[in-house]
Amino acid sequence: MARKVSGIVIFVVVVTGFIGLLMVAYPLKADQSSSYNKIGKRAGVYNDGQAALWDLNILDHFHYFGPEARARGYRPEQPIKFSHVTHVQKNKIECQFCHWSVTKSPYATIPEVEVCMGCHKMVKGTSDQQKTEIAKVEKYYNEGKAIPWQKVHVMPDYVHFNHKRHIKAGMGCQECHGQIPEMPVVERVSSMKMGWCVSCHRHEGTSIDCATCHY
Amino acid sequence: MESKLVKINKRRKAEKKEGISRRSFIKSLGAAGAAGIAGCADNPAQKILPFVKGDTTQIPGVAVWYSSTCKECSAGCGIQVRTREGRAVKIEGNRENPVNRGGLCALGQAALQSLYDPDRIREPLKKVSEGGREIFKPISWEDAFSEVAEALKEEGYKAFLAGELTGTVADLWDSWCQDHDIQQAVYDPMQPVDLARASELTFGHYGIPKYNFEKAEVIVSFGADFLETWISPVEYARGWAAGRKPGNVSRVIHIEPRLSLTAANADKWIRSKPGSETAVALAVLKLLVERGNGKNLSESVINRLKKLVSKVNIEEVAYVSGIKRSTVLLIADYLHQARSSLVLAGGPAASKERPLGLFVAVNFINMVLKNVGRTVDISRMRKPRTSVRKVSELVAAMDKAKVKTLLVYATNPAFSLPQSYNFRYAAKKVSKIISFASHMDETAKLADIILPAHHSLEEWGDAHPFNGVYGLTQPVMRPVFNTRSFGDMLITLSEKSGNKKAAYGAANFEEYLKNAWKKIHVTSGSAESFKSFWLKAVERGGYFEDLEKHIPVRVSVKDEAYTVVAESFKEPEHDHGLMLYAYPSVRSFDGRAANRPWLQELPDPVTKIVWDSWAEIHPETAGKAGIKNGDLVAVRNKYGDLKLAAYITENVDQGIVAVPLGQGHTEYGRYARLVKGGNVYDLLQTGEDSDGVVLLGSHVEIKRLPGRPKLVNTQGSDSQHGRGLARTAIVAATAASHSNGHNGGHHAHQEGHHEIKQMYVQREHPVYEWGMVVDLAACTGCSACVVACYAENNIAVVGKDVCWQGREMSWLRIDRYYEKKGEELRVSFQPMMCQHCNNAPCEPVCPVYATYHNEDGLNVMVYNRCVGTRYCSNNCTYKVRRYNWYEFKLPEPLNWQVNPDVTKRTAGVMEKCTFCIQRINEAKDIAKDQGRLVEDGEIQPACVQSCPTEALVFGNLKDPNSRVSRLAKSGRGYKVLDHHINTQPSVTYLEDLKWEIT
Repeated sequence: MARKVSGIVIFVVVVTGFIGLLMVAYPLKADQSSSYNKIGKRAGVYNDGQAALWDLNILDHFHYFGPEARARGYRPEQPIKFSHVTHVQKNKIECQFCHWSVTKSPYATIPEVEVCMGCHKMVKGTSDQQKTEIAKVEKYYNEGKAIPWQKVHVMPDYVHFNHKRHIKAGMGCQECHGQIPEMPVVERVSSMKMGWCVSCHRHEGTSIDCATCHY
Repeated sequence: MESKLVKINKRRKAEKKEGISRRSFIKSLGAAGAAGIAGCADNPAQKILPFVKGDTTQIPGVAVWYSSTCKECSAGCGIQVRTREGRAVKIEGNRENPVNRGGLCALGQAALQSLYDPDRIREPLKKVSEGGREIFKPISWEDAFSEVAEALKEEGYKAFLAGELTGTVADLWDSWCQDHDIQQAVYDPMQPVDLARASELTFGHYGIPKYNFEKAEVIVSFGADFLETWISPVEYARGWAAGRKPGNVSRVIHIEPRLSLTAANADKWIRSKPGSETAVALAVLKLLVERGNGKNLSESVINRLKKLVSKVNIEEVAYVSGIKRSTVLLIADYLHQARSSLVLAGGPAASKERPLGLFVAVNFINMVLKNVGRTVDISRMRKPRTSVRKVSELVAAMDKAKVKTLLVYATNPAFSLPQSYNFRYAAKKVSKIISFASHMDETAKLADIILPAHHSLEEWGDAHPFNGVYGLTQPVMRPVFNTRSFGDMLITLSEKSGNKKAAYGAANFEEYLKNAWKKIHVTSGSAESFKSFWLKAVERGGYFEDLEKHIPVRVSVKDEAYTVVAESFKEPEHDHGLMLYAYPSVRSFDGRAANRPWLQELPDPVTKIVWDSWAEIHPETAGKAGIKNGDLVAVRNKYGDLKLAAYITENVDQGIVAVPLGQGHTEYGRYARLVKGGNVYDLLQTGEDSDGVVLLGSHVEIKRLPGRPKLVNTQGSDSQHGRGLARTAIVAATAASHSNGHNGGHHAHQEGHHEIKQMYVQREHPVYEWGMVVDLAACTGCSACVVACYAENNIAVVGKDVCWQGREMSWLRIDRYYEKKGEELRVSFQPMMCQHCNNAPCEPVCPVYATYHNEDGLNVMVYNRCVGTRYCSNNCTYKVRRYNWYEFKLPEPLNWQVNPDVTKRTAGVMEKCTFCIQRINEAKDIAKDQGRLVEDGEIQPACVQSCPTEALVFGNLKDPNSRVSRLAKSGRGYKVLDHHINTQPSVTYLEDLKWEIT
């Protein structure tokens, strides 16, 4: 009987210890893209006494518990091999040239196919791969079909994020989306979980009221 | 013996036929289980589809508003339609339109559910016989047009039966019918045609006058339910409320056999015996003439009136009507003393076999009181074209198999024409029925070919309710289905039929409309070009003249007016048999709104019953027949029978059985068909001297049937149990001439001010403290706000069974309380939503911090934190929290209406009124862009916006100059239950004001 009990105790201790180790080890591989991992200056939400688990930013790193599409490193294959390296880094196109609604609307939006065609009526590409990819865009445009882009930054429905507010506050796109100009294929570099949002909001002293985003 | 394989194959075939079998059901259960497990780690990968071509008017994520005109009834209210990414998501009233000035009724707001009705006709259909059954098969527009064009070319009796069309499309329809040699008939059961005929007799002009309620000190209504459905309820409710502002309190006396919404809001509701209103009106006329009113009239008119009323015996009238002699004298006294007044007749009480007597008598009263030209404006009349007599001539011709082709648009006679006309039977003898219906209603079902028309939100058009108001209707989105504009169809058909006469100088209806508006441009005398005039009209929602401008009109009384009244003396005395009292309700109107889940789940403003059709019976009458509340009763006469649940109430006369119109569809759609019990129209009789549908006077018998159907009533208790929830200040009659309504007030506001020990830390609100004021004196209980809330906040419609369990989801409900003081019945309406308490009982009991108080004074509900303990709901004093027991999926395309700015809640989550936080956040966002704070009046929650009487006011309580702050401090203000439990709500109610009429 005693042996049985001690066996269970040892098992529990080992398992907890392992989980504990993981919790300590994971934050060490900290979120490189975000500079706002520290707990913010302004302590406490409006109703005090709600010490938040998210402050530790631990859960963010266990994307095994969450769906893949909401985890860092999510890099779905796109219907067109569009490269931000070519467009932004090489050809120096401003983000807002294509994502024009970001200063006007809560959504940054994917540009209309017409916007692509604005340049690609003339620019047909140099390499074979470029030529085939541009031809695909052209096909979509001529057929009047939308390009079925895979969403990279998937948010749950109960989050109302406003791009316009963040851009007008002087934030750059890269602060959340990472070094997009260097990405041949866009991937999710920030967890974009609530703790990650709140840590920045605390740091900047902006609203951390739930109703800012959840309604 | 069959082999196993053969057996399996057979079973599979059977499954295919039947849809689902036990085996495949179990299989699907297994699959669902697997999906459930997968659900825990489901991949929310989504696609993001951009537009192909850009649209300069659309920014994804930003709403685009279109001004238009509501076509749900003939009132012609202006609307503004909010669209997101090309889909209409909300309809609101248009402030620019002088008819409604911003408010909009429940029916108008629910037009969205008609646009996205999953049971709409999706493409042109043709009836074919297949295997002995007649079914509709889709055909191409090309084929449909050529088939109809062929029918038009053929010789023979052709007739067109249409609903009440307005504006340019009516003109086009007229000339189209003339050019194609087609007989016209108009049928809309809701048109007060006899009222218009009476105007012709007494004033010399056919039409429905424009009533100026705001200018009347005393309003006497003989059955006209002007706050719910009568003619133009939003316009009238606004005028009524303007007259009831403190300092300007008008008095309303309502005479009707049933407690309608107007009766409930009146200062005095006088129960009359059905059919006796004419006698009462004549008695009042006699008393007024005796008191010297009518000196403004010409000698001959007044002399004839005197002679006419000399036969009236007040005692006899009192006996016939069941109204005391003193009460009749009281009505006359009030009218005689008032500086301005308004007398009305309408509704089912006035819709009799011989209705003209009452209408003419009421017109005479208005004439002797000098109301014509002041509160009764006959220079701005709407001229209804409905004529039941013409329709019945047409049906008679159909019955004799004379009619070769019948065209039908925007009317549903197979449902709403009484069975006594025998439309359904006669329709079988017509060789070809062509329908332009957009919904598969009972009439469309009879058609041989259907060319589905657009919904009014998808097409160009205009509305011309009365002189000086020209509302424009514009398409707010691309058509949902493969339908066409009715005007376009007429133009195309005349081209196809090769009719030489029919040249309209326009390729489509939009062009035709613009040509017609060129004339309006000329008459407007505008100095600007037509292009800018047109663009302005499109932006504003129409062209509106100054309605204060006086248009002189000559009044000439026709001889027939006197004879009609004289004849009404010969009317048989009040009959003691049981009469059917069919009344229109804002929930289903005449039946056209029956397939809209919002309206079906909307509690009836007075009875508070949802999802049903019922029979209101007086306890005495019910007792005689051995009927108890909730029993199944048969209401029958020779034309048909209804099987309804009995609703026993003292608020109807003993001699009537009141049943709401518009339920009991056999077609029209999945939601309409859910309400069983039969169609009330079937039982109605034909009118001898009426040109409308006769709603009163059909004799019926009632009989108890076995069974007790579910009758779902959302009002838990009719009594307030002395808790002072909805308070009324009764202003004494003696104070009438001086008081501004404050005398009788409870001054309840002070109650909360004495020192109370505070258990919680008091809230601080640095910038905003959102709050609301509800003026009960202006609230009519019309329930427009309830529908607005459903539309704005994606509130689930749960259906009858779930409502029966008390699990309806409305965030805003209107409580209705009765209070009896002697003979007098006082009815209170109280909109009840989350009170956003500063000491909210729901907040401390939430174990997961899903509900809390924020800096702006809002009681916030965070759906994603909620784990569904329901503690908050149990602890809520006001019972305004709603729990999602189930998740409801809307069928395509009804889900297109969903507001993308509000999270759709899932099962297991609590929800409640948020003060439309999405609108608050939007306004804050705009204010921040402009570097300022949110201004007063900038935020209008959906309920506030929709209110026809501006009974609801929203704003920042932190700002002492805001409208809401000033109103909250008024002497009439109080907070519900605050004095008992110190919840400190952010919603202040202002006491109702009622005049004591003695």
